[in-house]
Amino acid sequence: MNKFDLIIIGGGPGGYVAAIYAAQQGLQTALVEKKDLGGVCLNWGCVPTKALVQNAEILRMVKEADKFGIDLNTKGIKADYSVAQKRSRAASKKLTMGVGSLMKKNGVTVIRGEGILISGTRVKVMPEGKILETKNVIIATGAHAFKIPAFDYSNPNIMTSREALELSEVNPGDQFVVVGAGAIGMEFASIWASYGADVTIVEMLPRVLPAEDFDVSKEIQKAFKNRGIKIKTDSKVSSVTTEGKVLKLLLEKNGKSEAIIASKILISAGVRPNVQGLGLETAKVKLTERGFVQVDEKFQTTCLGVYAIGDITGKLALAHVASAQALAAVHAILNKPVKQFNYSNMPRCTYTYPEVASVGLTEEQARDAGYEVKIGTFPLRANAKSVAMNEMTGFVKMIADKKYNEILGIHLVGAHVTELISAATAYIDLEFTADDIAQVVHPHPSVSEAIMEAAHAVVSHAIHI
Amino acid sequence: MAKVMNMPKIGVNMTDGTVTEWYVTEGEEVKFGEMALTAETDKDIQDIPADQTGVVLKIIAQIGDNVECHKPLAIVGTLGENIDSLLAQINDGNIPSETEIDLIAAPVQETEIADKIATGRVLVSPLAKKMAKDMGIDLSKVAYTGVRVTKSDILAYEDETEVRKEAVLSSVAATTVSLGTAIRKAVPYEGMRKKIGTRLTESVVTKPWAALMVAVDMTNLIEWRKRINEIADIKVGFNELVAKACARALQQYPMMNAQLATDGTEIYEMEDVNVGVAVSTERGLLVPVLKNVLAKGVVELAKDFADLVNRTKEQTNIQGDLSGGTFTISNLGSRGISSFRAVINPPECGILALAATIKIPVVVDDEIVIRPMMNITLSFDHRIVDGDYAAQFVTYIGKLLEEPMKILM
Repeated sequence: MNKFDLIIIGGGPGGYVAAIYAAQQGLQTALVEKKDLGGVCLNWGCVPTKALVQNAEILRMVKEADKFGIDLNTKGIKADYSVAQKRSRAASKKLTMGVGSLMKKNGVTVIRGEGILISGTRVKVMPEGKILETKNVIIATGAHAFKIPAFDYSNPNIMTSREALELSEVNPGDQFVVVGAGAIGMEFASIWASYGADVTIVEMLPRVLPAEDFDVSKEIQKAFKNRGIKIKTDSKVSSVTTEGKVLKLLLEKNGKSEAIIASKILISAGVRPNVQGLGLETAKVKLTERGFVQVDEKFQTTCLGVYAIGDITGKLALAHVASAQALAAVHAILNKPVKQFNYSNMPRCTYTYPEVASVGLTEEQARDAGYEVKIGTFPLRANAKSVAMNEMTGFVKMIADKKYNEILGIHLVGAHVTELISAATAYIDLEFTADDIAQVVHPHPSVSEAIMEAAHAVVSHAIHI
Repeated sequence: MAKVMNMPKIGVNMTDGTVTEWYVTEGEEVKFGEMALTAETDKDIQDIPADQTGVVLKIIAQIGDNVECHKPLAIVGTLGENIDSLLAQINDGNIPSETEIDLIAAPVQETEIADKIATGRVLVSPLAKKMAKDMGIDLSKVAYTGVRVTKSDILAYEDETEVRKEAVLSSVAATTVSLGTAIRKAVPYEGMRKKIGTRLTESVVTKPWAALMVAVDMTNLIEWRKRINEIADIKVGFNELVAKACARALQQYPMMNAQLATDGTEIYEMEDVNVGVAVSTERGLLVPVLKNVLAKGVVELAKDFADLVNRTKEQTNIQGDLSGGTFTISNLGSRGISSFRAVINPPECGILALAATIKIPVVVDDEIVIRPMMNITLSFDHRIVDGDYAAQFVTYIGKLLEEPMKILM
């Protein structure tokens, strides 16, 4: 069969979700994937790193067991990173297979190969060269790690996140340098530091997690420093040289140079869209100035019937955003109403220790947007559950507009706060005001109470501080 | 006249209330909108405002009595009034309540509201609800794209309303342009001219108005003014005398001194009586406002008015000169106009148009005599008051002007 209602190119969290939903809605759907179902997220991103994070978390707890009166002979603990790495691969494999069975269950035709647009209604699959006819196309080919040109990536000790996930050995005292303090860099730094490595983070901008609220950056920077992670902000790598078995990085900060030594370097400087070799030009699918696929509010590209979702659209490179766009694009294809996307209201999580999670505007963005900003904060050291768990680092910071106490942003730092951000996201998405959140009864004791307290702080005063 | 004070309907779900406490006893005064008692309703035990002003002559609903909405709680009037017939009517179940009259007079409105309650529950986000209340938007009119009304829908509705308002204005302008003749000169429609236009268009488009005219015999007022001017150190004009009479009447008929809240859910009875007087200036029509007219004598008003007019004409107005009015008078008497209807100055409830005082033959005690007569025309906002109430108000002004001594009484 060569005729479809919808062909999706790319089987990541955008593409495979679109495929399932389209099939559920009765469309004859094909998914073209050149490698593994699940894309970067399941295979080389979100999921395997969370397996490593869990290992790191257990190791950290075991090392601190004596604080809780549990004698595990802390000095003799040996942690085998290769087992963690294998476990992370197994987790990926399991979920990827799950996606495969979902495709089968929903009657999606999975075609292995590279999909290339010939027109808005024809897709060629390489290397066979088979041509498929379709009414609609969704491009969901995602993105890849940006490789800063100054580094020699043939050197096995210079990695992007892709190679970092294949790294099977981390030993105490290993010297890791992470270039780029975004979510990916910060997560690897946190994992490796838990395994006892000597980690230095180099960031060009004045603070780590520069996309987050400045108070969040400050808190996580402090927490990382307490864990012995070195942070060099406002710093640029001016050169990298190999000196015997190690790498020597020359950093530049405000005109001053500093040399640091690394056994391994991770380059985590954002992602670039996978737009090459897709036949975009042939199909007259235009790119934006920044090189992403240009889409309208319904994810329609400049070629009629061709849609694009996920990282390739350059909106917000997060798996759940791609999945949400997938549903919206299928809606558009089915001619159903498409909910307008407010990208600032998409939740963002960083799985470091402590974790960072946020939704909505940062304080700075809110002020720049002209809101009359009102802030409510609540520190976790005043939260009963956090004290009981001995996880007192972090806070809830709520940003509201003065006029209606409209919630503009909620920012969380602390253990497990990535699980709490869903509630905060619902509050913002459903347009709760701070007054509404304050009067929602939150369970005691729970870390979630801190969100209610921050809302109280916006309205008038927090209760427990 | 004694009136029945009824159990008000507070909130759509309230059907009745059980009296738990009276804040007033018989012989004490209540004021419209002030809390007079507490009752247990569908929600809670809550304060219940009086829907009448006057002295409580008889408390009908005792503590513990359950009273349906719009049913009598008490009789209110002036001290010493005979309320026997009213009581008898209530006991017979023939309650002469105003609410009942309204129900008969406006059955269509009632069914509309009932339908809305039955079927039109508007799904709305908490933020959008807050915004709609603040901006005076009727949520049932807001179209929404998602599963319920959200902030963006409210903002879109606002934009649309703005566009519609402008469309009304431009269509008004369009109809006045005749293509049958060449245009000699074009003057920009902007600034003060446009401001007046927008404001008056808004008034006419949004207010369901009606007008009532009364012919007033000015003999006594002319005489009275002459005497005042013999002893006063400043010349007192008719405008100040009429303003004083209006203030007295507004005190007597407080709903004429009321305004509809922006969100359309409440009528505000205003505390002060501030009377604006329309003044023609080089810039256009302006309305300086005489403040707190009830408390001032006519000489003081004349001084205030002279200052106000000077400042207005010289464009040296101070804060509050041109705002805060609760009623307006417009006087075209000096132009010889025999009668006219003025456009209500929003957000006020009424405006009184004063025409020229003209000597005409009138019948007094079955004889034709010559009297200086002035036609006064009240335009009023029918949303706030009904015709009968407005008629009582405007005839009362007429009586005050015919017997100016009554202003002092």
